[in-house]
Amino acid sequence: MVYNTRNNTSGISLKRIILLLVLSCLSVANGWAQDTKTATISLSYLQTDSTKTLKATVLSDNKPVKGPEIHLYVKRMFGMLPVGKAVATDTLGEALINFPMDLPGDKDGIINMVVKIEKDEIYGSVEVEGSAKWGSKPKGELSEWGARSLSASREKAPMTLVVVSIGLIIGVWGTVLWLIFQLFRIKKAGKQIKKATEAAI
Amino acid sequence: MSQHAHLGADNIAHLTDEEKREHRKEIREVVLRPLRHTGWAGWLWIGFLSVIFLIGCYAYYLQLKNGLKVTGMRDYASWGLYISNFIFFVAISLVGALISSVLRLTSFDWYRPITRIAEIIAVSGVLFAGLIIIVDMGRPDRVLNLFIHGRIQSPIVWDVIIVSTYLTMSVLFLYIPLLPGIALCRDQLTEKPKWQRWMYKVLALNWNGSHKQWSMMKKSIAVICVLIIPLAISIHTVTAWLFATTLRPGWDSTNFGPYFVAGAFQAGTACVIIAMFAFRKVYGLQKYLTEVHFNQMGKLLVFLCLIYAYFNLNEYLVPAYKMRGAEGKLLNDLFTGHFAPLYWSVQIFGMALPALLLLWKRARKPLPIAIIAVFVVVAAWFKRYLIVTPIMLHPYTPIQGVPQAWTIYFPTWIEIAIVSASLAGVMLIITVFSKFFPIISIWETLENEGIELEEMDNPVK
Amino acid sequence: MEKTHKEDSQRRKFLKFGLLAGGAALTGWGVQKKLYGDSIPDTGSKVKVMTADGKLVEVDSAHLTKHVSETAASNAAAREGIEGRKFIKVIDLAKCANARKCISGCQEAHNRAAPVEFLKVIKMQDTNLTAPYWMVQGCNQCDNPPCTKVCPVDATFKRKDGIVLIDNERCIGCRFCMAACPYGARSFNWGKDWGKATTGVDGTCHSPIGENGPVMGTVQKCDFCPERSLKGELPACVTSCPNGTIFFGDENEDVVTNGEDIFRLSELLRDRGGYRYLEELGTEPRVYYLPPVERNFPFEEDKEIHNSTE
Repeated sequence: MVYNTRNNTSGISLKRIILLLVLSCLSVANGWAQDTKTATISLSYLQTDSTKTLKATVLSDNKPVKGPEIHLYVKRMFGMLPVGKAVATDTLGEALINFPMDLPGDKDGIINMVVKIEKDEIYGSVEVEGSAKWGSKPKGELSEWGARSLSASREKAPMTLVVVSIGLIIGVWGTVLWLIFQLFRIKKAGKQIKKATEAAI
Repeated sequence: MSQHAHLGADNIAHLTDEEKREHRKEIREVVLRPLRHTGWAGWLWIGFLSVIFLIGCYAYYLQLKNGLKVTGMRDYASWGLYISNFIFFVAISLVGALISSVLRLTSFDWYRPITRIAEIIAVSGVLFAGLIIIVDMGRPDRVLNLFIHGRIQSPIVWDVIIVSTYLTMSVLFLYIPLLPGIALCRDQLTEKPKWQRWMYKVLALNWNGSHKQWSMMKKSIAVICVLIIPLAISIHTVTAWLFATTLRPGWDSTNFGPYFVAGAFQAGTACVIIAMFAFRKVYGLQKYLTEVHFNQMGKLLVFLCLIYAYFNLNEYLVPAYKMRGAEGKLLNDLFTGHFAPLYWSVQIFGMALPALLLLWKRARKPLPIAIIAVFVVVAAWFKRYLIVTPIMLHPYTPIQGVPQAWTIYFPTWIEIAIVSASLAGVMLIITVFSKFFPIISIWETLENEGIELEEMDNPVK
Repeated sequence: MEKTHKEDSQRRKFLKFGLLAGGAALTGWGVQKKLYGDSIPDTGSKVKVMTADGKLVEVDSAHLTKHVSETAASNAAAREGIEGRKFIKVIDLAKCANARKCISGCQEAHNRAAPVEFLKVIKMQDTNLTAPYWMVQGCNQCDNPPCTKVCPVDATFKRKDGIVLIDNERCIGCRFCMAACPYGARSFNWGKDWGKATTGVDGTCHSPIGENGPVMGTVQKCDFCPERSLKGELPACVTSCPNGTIFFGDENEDVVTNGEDIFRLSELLRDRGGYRYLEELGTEPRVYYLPPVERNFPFEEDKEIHNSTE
């Protein structure tokens, strides 16, 4: 075959056809990708006496989705705690994740959680928040805080210490006051006698 | 009390009234002489002490201006000379209770001329203890916080309460037996300036020796005697607890309370011996501070040194047997390391040697015993330093990553100046007191010899 | 005529008294200010500010103190602490490589510089046969704190969120708490502006009560950065560490994180054999350590001397 090496811009060459094909394939694929199907996750909370299970149902266009991995996170003060392993949805679009029985919630026992699909090929990233009263009661404040103790503030001194110190202080300083009173009596006694001797003279 | 054996006093109860009055006149003359006349040596001494005190005041001004960084203390040795000086002052102030009270409750009457010396040492000691602790504070402008926000759980608050209580009690214990002496000054020192005579008049509380006054005075003394012993023991126990309530190796000891109290009695007694010697020499009081007194004080000092040695043995031998962790490193440092020369000098020259030497009667004569007492007091001061700072340089965690100066402690001139000023201040108070009030308790000395001043003042007609 | 004379002299007396009293007060305030007040030199550049009663005045920019939190907690609120939290720290000794970024991060956050360091990185070697390791130490915010027991004026106190805080407005500088702390966690402001950062850094973290920089003659220490926690930020040391050594969290939530990794606290301590320093002293510290096993890298000696000058 003789290749035409001249700069021939007229007509459609083989190179161009290949290029066009490739480009069109890419755009189709691109279109496919951009055309991410939107998926929604709905949560339901299944609880028995000894288990807590989160059921996440993934639907897209009201049809269950099989395959995407569901990640469960619990919202915490400084970040999100991953709970359990990622579970892929089954044919019904459902994924069951076990929730630990002893994870503390807030003071009312409520757990705020986030369920995510992360960077799925088809559905991208989806997340939904939920909350359930699944938290075990936190231990609350430090049990000793507010109680009377040696390390507490001045108002919360141990009772025995307060009683004994005040008792001792009153006892000793009472004596001091009595002694000072004696001094006044000595002074008065001297004045009386002086007056008496002066009167006698 | 005058029925008991009077050691060293000629029982002159058999003398006639006229002879007794002569005797009383003589003692009054001798005791009042230093109040009447101060020699050039006295003025020099007072001047010298005043200069040291003023230098210390200037040093404190510098410390107030620039903060505690002018001292040698840093984050590790955060307690230094001021705190060890504080313990030393509290220690010597216990002797007032020991001599004026403990001995008073026994039948040993020989000590009675010494009570006032012991008491003035106690008063000035505890006064300057309170002052030096304010010097150590980082924010002395906030000292009122101790009263507004004080926590009863804190050993420092216990210390503040008990120091002020003991100071008050000691002032009363000094003042009440002094009443006859003040009355004497009021009546006899007529050549003194007006303000001084006014002071005697006011302080004498119209004392005229009536039965009523004597009985009130003696009753008050009896009450204080009983109360001041637990107070004195408490003050130094609580001061010991400033250290024993911490978790530091070396301070974390159950022995600290009695250990400190025993050391306090020993150091205080030595102070009294030195003061006795000084007053006897300078004021010519040989007849009243006799060799017998020094002999007895010497025996007392031996006894106290031995008790203190017993507590030292418990304090150092038992941990040394175990050599636990950080404590072991500290003990090595004290016995054979950096602090060894100071530690062994203190133990030998301040405790072991005095106890041995004073067993020998010749050593209990005034001059030798005074010299030995000086060693005891100086060693006692350094012992307090050894209790405070080496422990702070041996924490549980190794000291790393800090400036070199923080790994050691050496006091700066400011600390030395302020501490010297406090020592000068104590001696100044004692000296000035002895210039205004009789340093010997005349009525108690006479009682010791069998003369009851109360009877002399109120002759049965 | 007489009346005005009397009035005059009374007025004079009042003025004199007023001047004296005012003078005394000013001197007292001046002395206090001189001893403990601001010692920053003027920069010369003035800034216009409005005073509380609506007047516009010009102040040298050096004397402006920038407050991070305008809703600064009252003394009482700061003494109680953040509701419902129990802060806890876990330090993974397997990760510490003596980078010392925690120290400099903490200094920056608190407006400090050498020689003041709230955190220390110490080379520890427990026995002759066991390997050395680097140990980060700060205040353990103990649950049975030996320091709050001995403070005579309630200037250091335990909050219900676990933090042991210092009130630098009340501290009298007796240093009893420093003597009582067996960990040596506390340091002291020995002079004016002791260890104050000179680079003009305005830290994001100020101790809640009365601390906008070093307060002369008072005590200071690591405070678990409560001002940052209020904003949902981790303490400065946690975020500064390049190796993720320090974990921080809330014991009530049973979670700690070093900024990147997040763990359940109870699992971490159980699986990694967590322990506390000087446990036998009974201070109940709130800082746990994970032993240096399976280290990421071998132990390396220090190549330079740190913090050697005052």
